[in-house]
Amino acid sequence: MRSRPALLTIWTVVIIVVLYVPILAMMVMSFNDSRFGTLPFEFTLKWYAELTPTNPLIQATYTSIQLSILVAGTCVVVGTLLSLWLARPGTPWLRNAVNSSLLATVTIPILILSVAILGIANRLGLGQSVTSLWLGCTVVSLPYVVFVVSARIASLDPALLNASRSLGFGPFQTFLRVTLPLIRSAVLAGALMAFVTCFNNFAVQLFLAPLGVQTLPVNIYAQTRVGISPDINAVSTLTILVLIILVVVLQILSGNAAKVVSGTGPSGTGKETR
Amino acid sequence: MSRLTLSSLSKSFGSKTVLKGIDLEVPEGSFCALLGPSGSGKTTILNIVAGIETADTGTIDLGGRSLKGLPPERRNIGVVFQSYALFPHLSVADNIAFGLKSRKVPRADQRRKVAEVLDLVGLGELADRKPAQLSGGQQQRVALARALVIEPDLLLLDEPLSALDRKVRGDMQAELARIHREAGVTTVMVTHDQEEALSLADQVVLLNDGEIQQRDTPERMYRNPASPFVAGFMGVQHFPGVLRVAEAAGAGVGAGKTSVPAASDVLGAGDVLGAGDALGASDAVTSTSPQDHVLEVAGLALTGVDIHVPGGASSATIGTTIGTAIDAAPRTGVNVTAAIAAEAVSVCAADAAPTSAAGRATVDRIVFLGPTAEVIVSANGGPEIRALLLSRDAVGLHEGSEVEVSIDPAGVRVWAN
Repeated sequence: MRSRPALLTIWTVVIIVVLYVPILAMMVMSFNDSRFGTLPFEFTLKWYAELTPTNPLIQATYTSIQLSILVAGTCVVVGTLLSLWLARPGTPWLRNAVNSSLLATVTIPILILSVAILGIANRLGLGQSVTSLWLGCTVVSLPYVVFVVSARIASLDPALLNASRSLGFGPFQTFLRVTLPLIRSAVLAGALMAFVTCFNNFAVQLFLAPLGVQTLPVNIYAQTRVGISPDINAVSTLTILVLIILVVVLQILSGNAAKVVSGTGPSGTGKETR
Repeated sequence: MSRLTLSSLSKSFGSKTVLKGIDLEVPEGSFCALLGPSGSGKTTILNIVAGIETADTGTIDLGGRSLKGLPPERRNIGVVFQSYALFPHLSVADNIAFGLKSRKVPRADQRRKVAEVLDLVGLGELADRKPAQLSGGQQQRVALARALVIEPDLLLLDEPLSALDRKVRGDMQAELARIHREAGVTTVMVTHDQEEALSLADQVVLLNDGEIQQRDTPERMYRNPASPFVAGFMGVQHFPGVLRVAEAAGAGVGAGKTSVPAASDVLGAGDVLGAGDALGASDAVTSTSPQDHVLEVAGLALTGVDIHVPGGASSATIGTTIGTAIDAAPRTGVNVTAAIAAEAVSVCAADAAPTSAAGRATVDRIVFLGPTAEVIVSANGGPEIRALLLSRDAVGLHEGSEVEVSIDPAGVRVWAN
């Protein structure tokens, strides 16, 4: 029995090594002079120097950022309104149906979901287009916003709203003066989660992006078929740094939200290193 | 400040009826307590008056205007919620100014009014704190200040003291009474705590199962409970008992409702007789007077007990029913419920017994409460009877003591089952 903590410690270390060594190796290799990642290690910054605005990787990164901001914005507006609606009394079956479908979106394998969304996009005549890319990414990121904001709304004392009403403010003013300030941090956390989820969302982007529009994950995927060039390591390292900063901000904004993100984080960042 | 009138208010949630036609009048400037166990509908009444819920039928009138269909923001009613519901993102001053902002009060006036009301509740120096930095008692005062600053026509308090610990509660109770006196606003308080209701209100309304059980001043409610339920809720013990005609007087009564004048002044029941007289005058059916009866309750036999509930409209009926039933069966008697106020029971050591004692009993327990002591006795294997004595009168008593119990008939109420 006494050895259990030691065993547990070893196990934890093994897990961490398995999870993070590939990422660490990639970061180290982004500073290695060799084009094929061979040793001995010779320090260089030339792969970072290659990340000029004309580099397709950088253009793909811009595309990804633009898409993620658009999707996060949409998710925040739609998700917050949906959360407010879910918190209202009445029609429990409809509420359960919406909740279950949001949960299903998270649990269904992302590849299957992507194929399904493409199928619907084709039916609607959207096909592979920026519109379907936007809608598809929104569908996948929306549940995270709803979960975070709903949890916050559920923790609010309903008497606060009654208090505001009894003090003379109507429903809309009450929303602006009481509800919104109290859920603001959750909404912001939801926005960051939606951004990160969208940025990492390789499968949906691969299926829905039209010709000529390449997001970062899709671009890296395309390049790896002809061989990894070290500037991918460089751009991935930068991406990971930015994502770490976002996760830290999330952690500060809301403990619960950060748990969900750090759960998807390592596998998500793993995608870019393929 | 206005008079509040509720008439035939009813409300159901699904198949469950929570209010069954409530009629209530709260005079201008008075303090009314809605008292009752949980699920009695008292909070529903409060929510309906505040506009948080709507009644199925009935009308609410506040100072001559009907509140029917008005949303909460247009009722001008101050509410102190059970959780206080202070806005956590606003400072104390901003919380209080909240209702002034909605009324578009100029900024300078806002500041002046907030300062005034903070002064009234004694929190002047805490204006810049956030609610989370306040103690429970302070939060409660802020909630009260926030409700009062809008100069409401009516103030509603939902279990205002229940979240406070015992010591703070006593202080807040006095504070609440003072603030009500100074602000002079018509107030309705919901509570399940009879002590709170008795100490604060001018008028106590006892509810059970969506119906008003009794509406009275605190003192009358305690002294003259209308039913065993009311007595129980007021903390008065009650027991099943049998009321029969005393052996010596039985013959005359059984024969034909003729008056048997009281032979002696048992237990000095003079004031109790008054009520009996009133009945005699208005109703000639029964002529039995209290002295003729023996109340057998909890292993004791009491004489001189008033069988009428004075004051209430239905008391004559109850009294007559018992009187008639007794006339029909003087020997076997009638099954009744008897409420006995603990302070009407006196206990003394067996050797020092007065002549009027109701019976012998054994001391089961003594609970020392400070200035008073509760002596719990049982007689002849009957249920436990609580006697509330001054501590000094309990000296010399201990567990297992044989005692004589006497009961002041003025502290006894009897209802037919």
